[in-house]
Parts: sequence; C-alpha cells; structure tokens
Amino acid sequence: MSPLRVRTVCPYCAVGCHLDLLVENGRVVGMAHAVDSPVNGGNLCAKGNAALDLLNHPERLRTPLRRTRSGWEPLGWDDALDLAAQRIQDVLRRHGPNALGFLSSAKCTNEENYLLQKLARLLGTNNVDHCARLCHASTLTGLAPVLGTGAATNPLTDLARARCLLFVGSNLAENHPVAFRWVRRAKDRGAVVLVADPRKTPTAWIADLHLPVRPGTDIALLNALLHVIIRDGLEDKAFIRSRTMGFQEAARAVRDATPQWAESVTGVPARDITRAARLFARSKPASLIYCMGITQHHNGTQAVRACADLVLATGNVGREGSGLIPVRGQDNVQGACDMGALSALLPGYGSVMDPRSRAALEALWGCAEGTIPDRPGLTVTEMEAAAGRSLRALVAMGENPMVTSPNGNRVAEGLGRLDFFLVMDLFLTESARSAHLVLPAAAWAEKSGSKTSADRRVQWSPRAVDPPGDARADAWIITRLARRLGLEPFFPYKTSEEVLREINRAVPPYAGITPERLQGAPAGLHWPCPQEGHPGTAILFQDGFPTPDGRARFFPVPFEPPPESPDADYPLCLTTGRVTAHYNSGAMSRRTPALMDLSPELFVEIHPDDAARLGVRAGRRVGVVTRRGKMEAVARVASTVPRGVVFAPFHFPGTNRLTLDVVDPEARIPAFKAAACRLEPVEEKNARA
Amino acid sequence: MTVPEFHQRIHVDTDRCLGCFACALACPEGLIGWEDGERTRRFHAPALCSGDCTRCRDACPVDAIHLEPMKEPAPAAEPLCWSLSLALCRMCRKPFTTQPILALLTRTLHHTVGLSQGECHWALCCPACRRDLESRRLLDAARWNR
Amino acid sequence: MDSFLFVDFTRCIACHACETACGREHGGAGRLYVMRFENAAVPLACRQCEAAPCVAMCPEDALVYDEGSGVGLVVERCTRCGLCVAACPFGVMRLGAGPGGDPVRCDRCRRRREEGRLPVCVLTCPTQALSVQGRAVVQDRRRIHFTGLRVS
Repeated sequence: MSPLRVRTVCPYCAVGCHLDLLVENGRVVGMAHAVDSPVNGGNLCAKGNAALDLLNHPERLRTPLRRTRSGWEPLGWDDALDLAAQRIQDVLRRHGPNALGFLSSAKCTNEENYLLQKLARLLGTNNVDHCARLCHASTLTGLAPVLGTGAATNPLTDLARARCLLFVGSNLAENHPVAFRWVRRAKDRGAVVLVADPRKTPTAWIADLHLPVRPGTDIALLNALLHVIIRDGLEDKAFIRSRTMGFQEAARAVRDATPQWAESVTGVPARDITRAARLFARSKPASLIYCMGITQHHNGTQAVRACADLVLATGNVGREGSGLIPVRGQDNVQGACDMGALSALLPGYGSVMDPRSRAALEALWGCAEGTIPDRPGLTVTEMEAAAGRSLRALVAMGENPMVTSPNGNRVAEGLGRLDFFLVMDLFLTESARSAHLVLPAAAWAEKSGSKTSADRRVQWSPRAVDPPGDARADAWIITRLARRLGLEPFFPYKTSEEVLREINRAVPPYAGITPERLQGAPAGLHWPCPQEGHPGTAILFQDGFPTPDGRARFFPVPFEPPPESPDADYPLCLTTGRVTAHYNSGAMSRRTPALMDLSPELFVEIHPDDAARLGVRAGRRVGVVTRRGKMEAVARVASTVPRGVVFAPFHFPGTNRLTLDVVDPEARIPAFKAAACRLEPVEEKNARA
Repeated sequence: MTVPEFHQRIHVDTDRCLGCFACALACPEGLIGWEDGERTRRFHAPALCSGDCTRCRDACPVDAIHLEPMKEPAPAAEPLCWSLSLALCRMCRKPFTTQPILALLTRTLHHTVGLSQGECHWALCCPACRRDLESRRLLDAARWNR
Repeated sequence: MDSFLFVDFTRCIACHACETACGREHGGAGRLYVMRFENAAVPLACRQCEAAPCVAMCPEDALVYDEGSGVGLVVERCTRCGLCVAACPFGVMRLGAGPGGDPVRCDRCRRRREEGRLPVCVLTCPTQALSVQGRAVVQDRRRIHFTGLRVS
C-alpha cells in the first residue's frame, strides 16, 4: 500500500507554502514536494525541507509537567487542567481579571487564537496579545488610518508582475526564500530591484541599486525619495487627486528632505537616492516591500506611514503588480491579528473602546453585556513589565518571550515573580523552564485548522497524524481549561470547523471563508471574503479605501534619530535580524540537526575595519555589551555590514538580552533594530580555534 | 583459560601502506584500529588473528597486507603498530589525508586529467578549501564574462 | 533524458534549501555544498567529470564513468579506502557518516530519475538556480571549468 499524501501548510514563515506529508499507519514516513501547489510550486526553503524533524523529535513534550522542588513531575490531563483552573481562579478571586495575562501565538491556527482571546475576554480582561507586537504591530497602527486596513495590499505572487521592487528593511531572500521566486521572476522580466538595507544581504545581491542606510534612519531615506519624486514632478497626480487626502501636508513635510540632507543622515550617497526615486516613480507598476527593518523601531508606526506615502504618491495601489507589501514573519501572524489576539482590538479589528463592536461580539457569544472590558489591555512587553507586580498569572501559548522579547534579563526577572505561569508548547523552551505548569501541544500536522499567510491568503491545514504521547492541540487545551473555569456554555466546540463557523460570524472579512469552502480551495481564499460565494479579494483597494470617505490619507512623517545613538561608551550600533537556517526564537529550528549544521551558533558580523581597529579576529569569541546586558558570540568579519554597525541574529538566547525595550508610542513595538553597543575581548578558554 | 586458536599471522608492509583504512573497515572482527593525532595517524592490529578470511588483504589498495597461514598454535606475539604522517592543507593547515596518499595523488593525478603537475595545486588542499577555491574561481570567471 | 545537474550560481540566494532537501532525501548531510560569499553564493555538487580523478584513483574500479549518466558507484566493489575523496578536485565527495560509510556524492537522485522524477534540489530551489540539462549543455561548462579555462 502506498502512503497517503496529505497536503499541509508549512509551519514556518508567512509565505504559506504547501508541504505534502506521506502518512503510513498513522506515522509520517516522508515528505513530497507539492509541485502542483499554486503557492510554492513545490519549492521549499531549508526550514520547510527540515520541518519533518519536528514531528517525531525526541525532545517533544509528551505529557503535562508540573514544576516541583525536585524537578519536573509528569501528571495526567485532568490533574493538570484542574491545577491550572484552580490557580487561575485563585488569582481571579484575589486580584481580579486584569491580573491575568494571555500570550497568544502567531504559530497557532486562527481557531486557537480566536479561542484564547475569547477566553481572556470572557474572563473579563483585554490582557491578550501575541508576538505581532514584536514584529508588525506598527503595520497595523501605521496603515489603519492611512489605507483603512493594516495588511499587504497585494498577493506575494504579484511581485513577479512588478516593474520595480523597492525593498526597505526586508531581507526577503534569506527570510522568505520561497517568496523570492517571484522577485527572481520579476527580475528575469527586466524589473528594477532597489534594496535599502544597512547590510549587503542576499536580497541586495540582485539589486540594481543597494542603498546602505544607517540603522534607524529609514524615514530620512523615505522622505528624501518622496522629496525627489515631488521635486521632479513624478508623482501620480490623477491618483492623488481622485483617491487620496492630505498630499499637500505630506509634500510640505518633505520639502527640506533633500538627497544631500539625507546623505548626511543615512550615509546613502545623494546621487543614489535621486536615482532610486526616479526609478521607483517611473517604473510602473511598482511594489514596496518592507519588513522588520521598518517596523521594529521606536517610531515604527511613522516609518510604515512613510512607506505608504511613497506608494500613494506614485499611485501604486489597487492594481496588479503594485502595492505595499509588509512581509509578515510567522505562518499565522496575519490570522492571529485578524482574530483579535491583540490587547486593543477585537476579532475583525473593532476597537475594544468601540461600544458597538463590543456589543456585537457579546451578542454573538451570548454573554452578559459589559463582559468585555472597554479599555485596552496590556501588550506583550507591558505584560512582561507588569509580571509579578499587577500581573499575577500568565498563560503563554507557543510563545518564548525569554528569547524573543527585548531586554531579556528584565523579562526573566518578571516571569520569575509570577504566582502562576502556564506554558503550552512543543518543547521545554527557555521560557517554559520557568513555568509552573507546562502543557504539551500539538505541532502543525497534528491538528487541523486555518492559517492566514502574509498576503491575507487563508488556507486550511488538515491533521495528518496524531500528536506524540499525550500532547494535545492548543484548541483542545483552551476549550477544556475554559470549561473548568465555568465557561462551559461558551466553549461547546468539538472541532476546529465549528470554531471557524463562529469566526465566519465574528470577523466580517472572513464571513465567506467557511470550512467547507476552504477545505476545497487548493489556493485558499484571500480575505476580505464578505459572503459565501464571494471569490475573495487578492488585491485590495481596487475601487476605494475602507476609510470614512473612501480615500487614502497621506501622513506627514517627521524624521527623528534613534533613541540610543552610539556614543563614547558604546561606540557601535547593534542591529538584529534573521539568518536563513533559523526561525525566530529557535525553539523549533535550533532543535533541527540539519539546520544547526548550517548555522550552529550565535555570531556577530563586524566590518573588517572595525575588527582591525578593535583587535577582533574572525572565528574567535567576542563579547557584545549594551546598557542592558552582555553576551558572547563568534565574530564574523565581513564587509557586508557597514562600518560602525554590528549585526547579530536573534534566534539564540543572548541577543535580546542586549536589545532596547523602548517602544513605539502607538504600536508599542520595541526598538529591536538599533542599540548602542561596544565589543569586548573574551578570555579564550581553549585558545586554539 | 581457553587458548585462542590462531589461523594466520598478519604482516603489514608499512612502507607501502597508504594510511587509508580500507583494511580496518573490512575486518569483520574490527581488529584493526586507528586514531588520528595532531600530525600522525597511528594504526594498531594484532599480529595473529583467528579469522579465516582474507578481507583486509583483499581490501588493501596497495597490497601492503600479507597473511601467513599457520599450521600450529603460536605463542602470543606483540601487536602490530605503525604510524604515518598526516598531510596538512596548504591553506587552512588542518590535516586532511596522509602523506603517502598525497604523494600518490601528486604523482599520478595530473596524468589522469591531462594537466601539468603544477596545475594540480588543489591536491594540496583539504576538501573544504578546494570547495572554497573552486567557488571563487567560478565567481571570478563569471565576473570576467560580464 | 536530460540528467545532468546544471548550476547557475548567479541565481543562487544562499538559502541552503537544496542542501537540506538533499539530506532529507538521502539521509545524513546534503551532497550539495552552498558556498556563501559576501556578494554571491555558489552551490557545488559532483560535476560528473569525464576524466574523473575519483574514477582514476579508485583501486577497485568501483567508480565508473558512463557517457549517459556520469560517474556511478558499484557499491559491492568499494572498500571505502577514501582515495576518491582525496582525489576530488572540488571537494564535493566525502565518506558517509559512521564507520564503513560509502563515498557520498551527488548522483542526481538516481532512484528518482529512474522513476521519471526530478532531483529534489531542483524541485525545491526557489530561484531555479539548479536545473537538469542534457549532457551537451553541461559538458562545455564542465570541461572548461575543470581545466581552469575561461567560460566562453
């Protein structure tokens, strides 16, 4: 008998690649390339190719574990859930609902995110948030007032149709390799590729023009690009007139942002800025792709708006091959946001402060009026700061804040002070080690549910095998926990499909994305899909913008320097990012031998001139110190980083002990991307390399 | 104590030995061992063996092993022990093969590929450095053609 | 059937997908080696040399060259002496992991080819830096690269 072939959606990044599992006797025996997939055409990146290792990994959690003085003690599900419910109720009784916090997860399905926020809100708190806070929160806050929706305007496949691609703070080639297939195709068709990034990344290898911008000065560059476009009269006047508001103010704001000024701020030659602006404005359609190099700043919201201004000024919205593409990181970060796993937003992006949105949801859930609090809850970083103070209990579903949150030493202290810390995860992660109770969760192929990729493509990923040991899907865990907390009538679900049917009613853009349709849609469905029978919307804003007057808004964006600039004590700038072999906190990828072979350890990249000046030798360990902490890493000396900049990947414990926990005032996203640092020699224990 | 029954005496022509480990991998009893030091590879084998096969001899690429059948039990003999120098990579200075293998390569390789001896400079490098050299050469060639 | 692996490294983005796919298909580490530099990356794999040093050095005639399919290994003859590994000019051959590992090099997924399927590295590569081509196409490049002469 030949093995059964089950098409699942890859558990790693937000491209949403299809991955066919070969299943025999309830076990995954192999994997096949989904050659007929409309998403990835069989292509996979290194992580996707190694994804199978997660399913039968020896370190997978197989049973609930309770921390005791003598170590981890296994216990049955009934005992574990009773314990969790009792501890949560203790906190509720003693400190009220706002002493509870819930970390939802962009690695879980839409259904699971919906359930966790429902649990939090039914318990009476908006303290529910997830890792979008750390990657693209500024996209939501930045774009909502500008375009009306904070999501990618065009599908990733559209990149192949662009005549010009401008990357700002996105290393697509390394972080979303499969999405790069469309970039490569565009380039083959003669498209111009412009890359603004401090480092000469693999994305920049194929660039016609690389703009090596100093970390934290992207707004100056974007403003200068807009300045040149307006100065040279290259803006799309008809588009601006008919579909936007506020262009004059934005134009005034960039009047002094000359390329010469920008050169002094960003370090990018004025001539290149002028050239890039002209290329971008003259090649239509053009796409602007941005990522965490834009969002992870103290002014990330503003930087996102500066990107949007550029796209609006050139009329690159609402058509094939154009658009503004924030490339989301995780397989379901878009969906987790759509599901309202955010402290200030309800499912479907209604504000928690809007009485109508609250009332609609309360009516749907059948709970008492006023159950959902009317004030925003705590964000990820705020929960960590409040942990052990006003926040007494934390439930983390598939999140590893100890590695992913900035100023990690402070996070660890906070988590250590909690009365009750519950973690659901695949592995005993760095964060789970400090939990009181750890519940074993199911991996992607061990549960069914829907996921939404970076381009709003909702796809169904079916259950192919059973989870190992006693592990259970997060949805199962949340439902059982909720029932024990007295919320039985609100959690009657037996399947993910039932939850999705409720989502159809709770989240208007998902109204037509029923389980039946989704399971029969090989390419998924792009939201908004407002009713059954609607084909979905691949390209947003073709007719109007979902703003009160149907027009997009320009926002004047002032440039301000990063909060922490290099000085005499900390003369270098530390910036962070990803490497192709690893994924976010590394909870999955650092447990995969094939990926560890490719990238075994934490490293920092240093420019040869800095290395020579500071006596740093390639391949040796070096200490990196900021005002918040210190780490050791192996030095890589490479001229791909500019002088004065040190690059460190954030997949290993260490990097985020150093990063800055200053947050953007609107999005509350931390400024991961620029911190002042210095290098220190490390005493070599084994002097021989 | 049972007296082991020895069938054959092992002779190794250490001047011929290349220092590959085909014999060690061939022996069904795993009697031949080796370890790499910083600069040398050291082999050890019993002088007598109870096997009745000839696999080590057959595996040896240079016929350096001679097996002498024995009619009578012999007194215990000192185990065999021999070492060879390792060849260090010309670029990274890490050992990558033995000196005799390197000598064999430099002596014969250029004939097989139709190059002069000097052109086979890569033979002096370890596989990792050969990959590095080759990729850089390809990159240079591509630059030339642009 | 076109069965030679053709590498256009100008398209490579150093994502290492080919390496991991290869490792998964064949077990152990991948048989391709993506060499990353500051401005480019070069995936290297067995070139199926015509005057192959590995074939020439093999004392047991376990490695054989065939016009249609390149270098092949007759496992039963191999003594794992490692002379082929020492001879490979490109460093793309190694002895398999553990004691008694066979020499490991790219065989362009021989088993898949026999079933009429593409090699996994070609399937997985997001930028089509890897493809399969006929012998004639690959041959020129291979010979020229091998002798160190410029590609014309």
